[in-house]
Amino acid sequence: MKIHIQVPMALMALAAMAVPTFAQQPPAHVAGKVVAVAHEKVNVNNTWLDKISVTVDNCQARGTLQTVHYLPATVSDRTALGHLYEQDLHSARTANMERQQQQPNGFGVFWVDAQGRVLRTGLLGHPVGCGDVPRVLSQFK
Amino acid sequence: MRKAAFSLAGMALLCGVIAGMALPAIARDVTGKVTAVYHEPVVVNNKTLDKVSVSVNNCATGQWETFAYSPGSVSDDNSLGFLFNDLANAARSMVTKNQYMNSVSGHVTLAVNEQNMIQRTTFWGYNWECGRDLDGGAPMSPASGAKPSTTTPPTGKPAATPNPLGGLRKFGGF
Repeated sequence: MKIHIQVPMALMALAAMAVPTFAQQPPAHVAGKVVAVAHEKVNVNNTWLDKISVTVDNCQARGTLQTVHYLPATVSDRTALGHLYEQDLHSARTANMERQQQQPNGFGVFWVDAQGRVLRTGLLGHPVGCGDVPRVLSQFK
Repeated sequence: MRKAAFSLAGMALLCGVIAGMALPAIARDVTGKVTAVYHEPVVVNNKTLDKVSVSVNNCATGQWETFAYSPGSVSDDNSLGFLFNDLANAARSMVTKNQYMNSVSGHVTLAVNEQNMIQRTTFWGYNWECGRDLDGGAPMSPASGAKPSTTTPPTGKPAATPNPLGGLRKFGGF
């Protein structure tokens, strides 16, 4: 009987040790051509904030759209979220010539947490595309 | 005589100390095409600040290198906000060249310290590649002295190795 109690406790202890390890894993990333940027008002603790979402044509499965979002805050000329909103929109509008000239442009790499919230934004330039994503990721290892 | 020599030595030492205090140590200049710009929020002394980093394709090595600014607040009211926007524009700027018309833009020279923190950012203009004017100008060499300032158009010579391929001239001048 005593053994039966001790085994679940040992498992729980192991699980408790495993959770912080899992939490320390490096964030995932979503990379691709920025194709759309969305803004919406959300209510957080009785305060109306701006939520910005970015949709990319995913490098890992071209033709598949994936959306990530920033932590809600205030969009303004005086905030990072405002600048990110403008720059992501600029990336979306930037012509992608990869099919015509093999020269991509307007791509982004978004490091995200488990909830899809953006932790770091990488705005890729010309001619940097899906083939360069490993090189981008290696800059932060 | 000896007293005068001591005074001169003391003055020189004092000048050196002042210069050392006034100017942050710049370890090296890196010139290259901006390939990516990054933003991430970081916590410094319990404050959340914006950290802006930039990757350049180093003209001298052909390798990507990434450097960062001291964390601050990205805003239209400060230089970090302007740098973030201008670097993103430099990254997106096209690099297309052919024998009839060169078209290069988006090159910068970053003066960085030992911690890879950016001390000075110089934006090069149209048809300037790796510190070289492709539109007919002579190649620049680091030995020529003056470096371009951050606020005026570059007229001096960059610290990067000139493009070994030589200058492509506009309208067919290989």
